[in-house]
Amino acid sequence: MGIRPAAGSVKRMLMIDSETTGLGALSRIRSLSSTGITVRDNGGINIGDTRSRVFFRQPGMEGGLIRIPTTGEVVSLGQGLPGQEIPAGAAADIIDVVVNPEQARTRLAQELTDYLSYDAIAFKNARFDVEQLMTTARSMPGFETDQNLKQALTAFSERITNDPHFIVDVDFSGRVYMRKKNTRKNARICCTSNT
Amino acid sequence: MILLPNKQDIYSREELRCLITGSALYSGMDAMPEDVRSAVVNLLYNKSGFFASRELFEQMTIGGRFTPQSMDNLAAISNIFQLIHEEAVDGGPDQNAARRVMQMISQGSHIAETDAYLSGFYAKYVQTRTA
Repeated sequence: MGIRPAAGSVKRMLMIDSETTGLGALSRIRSLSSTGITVRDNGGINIGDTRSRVFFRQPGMEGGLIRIPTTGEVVSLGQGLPGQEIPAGAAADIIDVVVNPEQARTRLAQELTDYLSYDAIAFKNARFDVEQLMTTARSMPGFETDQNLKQALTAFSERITNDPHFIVDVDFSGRVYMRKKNTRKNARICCTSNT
Repeated sequence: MILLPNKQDIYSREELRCLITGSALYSGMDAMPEDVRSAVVNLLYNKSGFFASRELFEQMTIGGRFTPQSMDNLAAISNIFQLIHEEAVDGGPDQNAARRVMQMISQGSHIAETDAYLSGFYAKYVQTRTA
């Protein structure tokens, strides 16, 4: 994946995934989770525990179903979130962006700031997720006056601009891997098809 | 050792065999240098629509579920779940994480926490298994 620590050291990485409200220009992140990964100097990878998970109830998400991360229970978004329908302990992970925009902004700022404490962060299809992260931050109600979130977003933007090893795209690595595999196999088919 | 894309290899081999056999390209390809032939085969493979339609290839930057290598597609064309299951059962170095993701996947995919784990395992196998 293009990230390999020096001999005798390890690198701390986060594997991040987001789910969005759609694919278009108006889509926002509705679910965000990260898992810690340790990359050893021999190239080996160890997968740790879930580091964070948060559900942003975005405007327009009055319908549909979600799974409560802590319990696995499936609930209707029409029930209203966060509220008494949500089991105790789960509410901290579920933030209604419209009802409590300050909490949503604070949580996203914490996420972005925390990402910067890692050697690298990895996504599957990184371009999409990174764009969605930044768009979601900018579209939070009250973003214009929230210096904390603005600073976090600026620091995040600077890091991904200035540190070429910070963002890892697992999809890219996967495509290279499979292309190598297929090229080798396909060449063999062509070479042996005449015999 | 079972390599990640073994299933994909089998399918792609058969797909290409069907694609090439009887094609006007076939005799011409025989005379090509190996690297050119390989490139043509790859081109045919990519155009064959086996992974996904051409339109989807052109839209790789949009959401993960529409990429040819979305978790759904990876599950269909590779043995990633077999490898995770083996790690969970056989006590691999990430046994706990493997067991956890096996539990989580029973509740469905396209859940950020589940897919973050799956992406982690995908990254691990891509990084540590010989292409």
